[in-house]
Amino acid sequence: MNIIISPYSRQLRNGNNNPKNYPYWQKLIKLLKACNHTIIQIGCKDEVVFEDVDEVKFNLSLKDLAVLLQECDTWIGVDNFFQHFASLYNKPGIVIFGKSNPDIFGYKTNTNILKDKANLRNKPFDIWEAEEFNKNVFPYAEEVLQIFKTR
Amino acid sequence: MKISIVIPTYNHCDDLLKPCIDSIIKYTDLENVEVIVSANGCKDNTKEYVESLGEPFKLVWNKEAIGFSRATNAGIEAATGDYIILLNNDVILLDQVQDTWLKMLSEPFEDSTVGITGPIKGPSGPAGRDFIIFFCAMIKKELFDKIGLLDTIFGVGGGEDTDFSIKAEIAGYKTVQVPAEKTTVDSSFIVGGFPIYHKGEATVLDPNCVTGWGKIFKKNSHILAERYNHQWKLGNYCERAVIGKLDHVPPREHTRYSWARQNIVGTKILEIGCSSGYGFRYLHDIPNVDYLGIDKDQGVIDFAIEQFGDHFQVADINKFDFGQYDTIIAFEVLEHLPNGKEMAQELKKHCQCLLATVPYKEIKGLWGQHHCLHNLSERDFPGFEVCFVKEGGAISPTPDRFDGMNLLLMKWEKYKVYNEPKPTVTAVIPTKNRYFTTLPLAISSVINQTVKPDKLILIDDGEKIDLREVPIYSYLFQTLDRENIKWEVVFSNGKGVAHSHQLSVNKCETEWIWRLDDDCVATPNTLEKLLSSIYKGVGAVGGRVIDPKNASFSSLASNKIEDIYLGINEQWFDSRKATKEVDHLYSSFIYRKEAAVHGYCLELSSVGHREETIFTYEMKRKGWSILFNPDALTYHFRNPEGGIREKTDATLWEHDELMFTKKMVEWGVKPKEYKMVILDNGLGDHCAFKRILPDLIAKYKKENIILAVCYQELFAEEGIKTISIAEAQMMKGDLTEYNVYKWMWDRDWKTSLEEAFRGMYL
Repeated sequence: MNIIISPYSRQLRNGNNNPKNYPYWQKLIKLLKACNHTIIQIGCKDEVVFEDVDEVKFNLSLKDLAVLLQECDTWIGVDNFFQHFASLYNKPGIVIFGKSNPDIFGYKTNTNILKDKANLRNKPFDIWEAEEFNKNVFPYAEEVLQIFKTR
Repeated sequence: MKISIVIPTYNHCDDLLKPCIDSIIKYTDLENVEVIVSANGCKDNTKEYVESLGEPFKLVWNKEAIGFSRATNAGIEAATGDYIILLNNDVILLDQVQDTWLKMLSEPFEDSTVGITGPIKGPSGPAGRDFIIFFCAMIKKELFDKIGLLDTIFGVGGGEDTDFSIKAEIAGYKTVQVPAEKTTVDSSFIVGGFPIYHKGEATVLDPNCVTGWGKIFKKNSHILAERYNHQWKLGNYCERAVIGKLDHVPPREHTRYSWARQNIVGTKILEIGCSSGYGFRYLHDIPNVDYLGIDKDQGVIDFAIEQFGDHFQVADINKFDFGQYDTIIAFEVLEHLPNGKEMAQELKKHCQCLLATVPYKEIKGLWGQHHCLHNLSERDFPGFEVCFVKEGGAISPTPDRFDGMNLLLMKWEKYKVYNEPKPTVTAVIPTKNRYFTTLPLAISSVINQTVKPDKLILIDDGEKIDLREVPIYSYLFQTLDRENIKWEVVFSNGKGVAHSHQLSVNKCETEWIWRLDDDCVATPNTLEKLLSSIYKGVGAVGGRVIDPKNASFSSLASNKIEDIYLGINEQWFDSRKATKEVDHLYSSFIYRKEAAVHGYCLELSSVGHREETIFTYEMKRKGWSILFNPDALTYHFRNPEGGIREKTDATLWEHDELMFTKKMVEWGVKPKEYKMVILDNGLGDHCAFKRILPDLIAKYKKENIILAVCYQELFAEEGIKTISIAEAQMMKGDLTEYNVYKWMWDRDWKTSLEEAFRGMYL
């Protein structure tokens, strides 16, 4: 399968790692590659490129991004703009949530992975600069792969 | 790198070919070189001679004389080198270190885009282009594969090298003269740095070889002109300049179109007598330009379309169905028409701005036989601003030639008054407690006007200080005296803006009143520009009144009364548009005292919210024209301190708004209602909002929706008006209430972001 990954949420103004960023991408990519999937990483220039991705497409125009989306089989991302963008084209994918609430920020047509509701923010609409990054709120790569395989 | 030297020859074995070949042998290492002599119907000893030379000399034998191009082509076809040197048989290599000539010819090919090198690159009159002369030229073999051999249409010869050289350049190859330094012409000799002597035309001038060379040359020149020289082909003996997209534009033509570019108003442009359409080179980048060029000549219009696209059509100006344009350009057209003077006035009916040129006081016959009118001057074209283009292209207010060598440059704009005496004007500045901030700047800007008002009145609604005692004001008052501007300070009764203005109407004795806020600075020609628009029936004229902190462009701004609640006024933004009629004016403008008899709305509170809107719209309702002339520019600093509207009591503003609403009902104006969406957030939120857009359109209709967004491209194909967040801030001020996250926070939102947008906007 051709899979788009959209690994990063926007950079925070205070320079901290965005708490929505999934910490186990590298492992997840290796697991997906082991299953012979083709991985295309999208994002913005200056973002870290993961090992083993087949293609990197940074700074695409919205038109080009739509073409890419239509050409791929599915996508995996975090709680960032791409899930909203893909929803405009009715292309379901997987969103790995951590502290944000998929009931508010996700789409039912996607597979929304949330490790534990207890990790959700008390103030769901506060700025993300006010939030600490915590990798423990995210599922492991193996769990994500398992869900990917069974969807 | 293998090189093939190809020498076409026609007799003259002993006197030309042998010395040529001797010099090649003497100055060339022949290890990687072959020399092909293409004998062209030779009747002398050429065959025996070439055959006696042995390797690397080869003979291509053409029994009959087949002409230079065919003979050369036969040699090229036999060549096996990567590069081919075409050499005439009447050249001799001059004394040099061995291979110097080959190195000079070869070196430029390090640049892979070079196709041809040779000792002389010179101009071809018929073709109107420079070319490498093929008495000695090195050509990349691949070039023949791409553009073919020499064109045999040139028969005996002459012109085939020009043709091939131009074709190579059109195909994207460079043609390079070696050495690059220009050769010097000494009588009939060209003396350059390349070690070669070329006798020149030795064969074609030999009557035993060629007869009628003059006719042949003329015929070939004609072929070149037809192919490459659009000026020669379409210029109609100097009637028109035919300039293509890559051609140099001569100074006068450059000047007049640069001038047009600066003076054009609007975007809908008609150019009459557009010739090859090269004016479009100067106009194409005007945003949203809608340009049409017309000319009577089919050939030149075909050429214009080929060069600049589908913006041109054939038309006879006297039969053309004009319609309306923002700007009409007529450069050197009117003199071609028997009714040119009348046509100049007629064109004014079809545009906001007319830009025209004619030769100034042209002597009959100077520019050919095409002109119907001669000795034209500004007297023949009343109602234009004029200046002159000198022979070298400089613009001047006065001519320096009276024989047709200067161009008369003419500009007319609708709503401008030409040659009328200046009306009397009083500048009025109502002020309150800005004595030591912006008021001195405002007064200073009045003093510095290019056209001075007759009087300045300060209406002091504040502390009523005797400003004569304050040094800065004493300087300003002295300067007003020196500039012959009368001045007066009037203490008003503290009832605010509308009363102060009404007081000024009562006090002013001039025909016009120029109102200026005490935190405004008028640029030096503001009054001059405003007064240029006061034709009969005009009641008020306003210019741009720009807060330098704000955005400079708005696609939404409107001065229509039904758009008043948009809260965004055309006068706040830069504009390329012409002077136009509007419904109402803002802040600073001039108005006719006679048109102010209805007076200011004194029922408003002291803040006088919307006083100028009511004042100018009521003026319009009484039949006066209200104009916006964007050429006039006043800066409005919106000083937060002081000012005649200085009141923090919100109820005063609410009172005035209620008054205004009643006025709108009284006037029968139904304000347009827009559904405003403001997305001052991330791209994902824009996408989430876009999911509800179809429902929003169904409810409010596309034309009533305004989207203020950060990512306009996401909505580019929706056909909905989009504006920037900066514009939205100008319209709405604080945008907090449009923040979807705040909206959700306030409601302790539990369902989706998309539903939140539905809740906000549907």
